[in-house]
Amino acid sequence: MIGLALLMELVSSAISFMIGYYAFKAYKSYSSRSLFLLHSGFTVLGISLTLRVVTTVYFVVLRVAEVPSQQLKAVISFAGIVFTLTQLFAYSLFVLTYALQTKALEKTRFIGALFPILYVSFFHPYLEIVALVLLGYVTAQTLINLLLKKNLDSFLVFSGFTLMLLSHLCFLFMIANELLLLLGQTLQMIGFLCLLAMLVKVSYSG
Amino acid sequence: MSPKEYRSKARIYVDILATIMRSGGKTGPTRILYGANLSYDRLMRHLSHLIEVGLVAEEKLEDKTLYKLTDRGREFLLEFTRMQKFAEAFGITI
Repeated sequence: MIGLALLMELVSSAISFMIGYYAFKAYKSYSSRSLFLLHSGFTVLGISLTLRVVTTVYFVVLRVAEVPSQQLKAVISFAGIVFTLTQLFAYSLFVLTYALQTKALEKTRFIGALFPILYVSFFHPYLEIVALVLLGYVTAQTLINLLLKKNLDSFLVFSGFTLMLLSHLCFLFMIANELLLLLGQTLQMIGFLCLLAMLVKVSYSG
Repeated sequence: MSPKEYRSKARIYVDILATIMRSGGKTGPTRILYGANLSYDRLMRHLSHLIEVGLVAEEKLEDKTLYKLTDRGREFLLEFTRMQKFAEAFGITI
């Protein structure tokens, strides 16, 4: 099960880096701040997913090496916080991308978008809920965009973020059933595949 | 696009190139002026830059001057359309 979960996580991070790179290409040509934030968001998300893969592998190595469980617990706890904070930072960048789009960015709005990061630095048990709130906002924005544009590209982006949102719901209730972790990662990967499909469609359009 | 909305330089270049493209790849300044919604002075300034970077070529025909889209210009326009589609999929306007 760990192997499959890691593979899905790796695929998701690779797609995230690809979208980040494409957004950077677009930013370099057209100097749009929103595109830069989108690029930063996907790059940071890619880093956070890679980080989870690396820490999981490290955890497995430590277990094989029969490191005392107290030490293992500390490693998992620290890695978990770092991973989730990085992911939340990425989601906050997405929130800023859309906040910027809705006309001029007011100072209060900026602080409002960054607030979750400051908050979770102190109270990490609520990290998944914060991720859900951030992704909920981004998903709502992509839904509005879909309703306005009514095209396949916008639908794929909306689907991608919706699936990411659902994956976090699964992660939130993971304690109840271990299989929810696998389901969450499957949903997350399908979400990234939706974004990849959009990227491929756009890249090859005439 | 509403008249009050800010147009980036890249957007203006694309509007100029797209107008030339719509006119069969070659046209005079008046048509570009209307198509790209620019004043004569601004159009000339932008056109000289586009010629300098090789996206547009100037052609003198007796007393007329025509502006022609180069292969590089076509490629730029195509790339912009792709980037625009990408940004629009996320709800971002370039």
